[in-house]
Amino acid sequence: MYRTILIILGCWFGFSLSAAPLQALTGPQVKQLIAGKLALISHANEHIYGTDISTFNNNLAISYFSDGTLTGVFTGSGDDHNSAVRMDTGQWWIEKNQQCYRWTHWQHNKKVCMSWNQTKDNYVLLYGADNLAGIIQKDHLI
Amino acid sequence: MKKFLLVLLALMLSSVSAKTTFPDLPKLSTAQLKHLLTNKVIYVNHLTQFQQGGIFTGGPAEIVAFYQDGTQRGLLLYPPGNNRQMDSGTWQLKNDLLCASWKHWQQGKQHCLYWFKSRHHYFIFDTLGQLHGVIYKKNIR
Repeated sequence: MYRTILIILGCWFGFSLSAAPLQALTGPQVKQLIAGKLALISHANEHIYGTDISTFNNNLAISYFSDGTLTGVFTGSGDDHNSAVRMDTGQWWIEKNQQCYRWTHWQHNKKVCMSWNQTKDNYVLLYGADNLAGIIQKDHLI
Repeated sequence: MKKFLLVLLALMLSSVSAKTTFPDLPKLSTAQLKHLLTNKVIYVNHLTQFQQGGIFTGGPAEIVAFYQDGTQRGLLLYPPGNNRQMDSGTWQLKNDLLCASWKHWQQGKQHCLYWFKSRHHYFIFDTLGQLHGVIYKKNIR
């Protein structure tokens, strides 16, 4: 009996995992997806907010302009209306199947590349193979 | 900061006392608006609460991205949290006015606004002389 239940659970979990993988987008797909769009990213920049997933807050809005420029706005606190917000500009482009960017000031003006992977409801942005950069709800990319 | 508040108060009073009176500040032309806004993102502080309550407490803040193809996308930052609203729409310039309409916000109606500039800010007025918002110059990128 227990063995049957274990087999059923094993098959169910195995199916669930195989049915909901991260689907990596190709370079052209990423370009088509984000050019001329505004994205609200739950950011996971460990240098700023740490890696604890509980710190995730919709806190970075990025506008990807079709001319290859981008503008970012940190919106973390959201209530500091009387002072300048944290904004930066930069460039974005596609290299192979990765989206690369370089901010003017943020991330020490270094070139950074990441892959875009989708699930049913989200886009998952990864540095390298498995280093989480951020998550975007699909309805937060317009 | 104190000077800014005085200017803001004067602008608010002038917009209340004489609805068609605009501030004694340089108004941006169509060409200047095009140069300022195309492929740029602005962070704007709306003054809704001031106008409704008579006390300046800071109104909703909003990010708007103006794209070269005439589309715009916005993100409402107030209230903060995970359910922030986003919308898209169109923008165009005519007769020194920025005319914009959203798909959902403001019932999809077109609103046209004049932009006046001071040393550090832009003040946004509607065609009736009502002040709608303030933008720090450094918050346009």
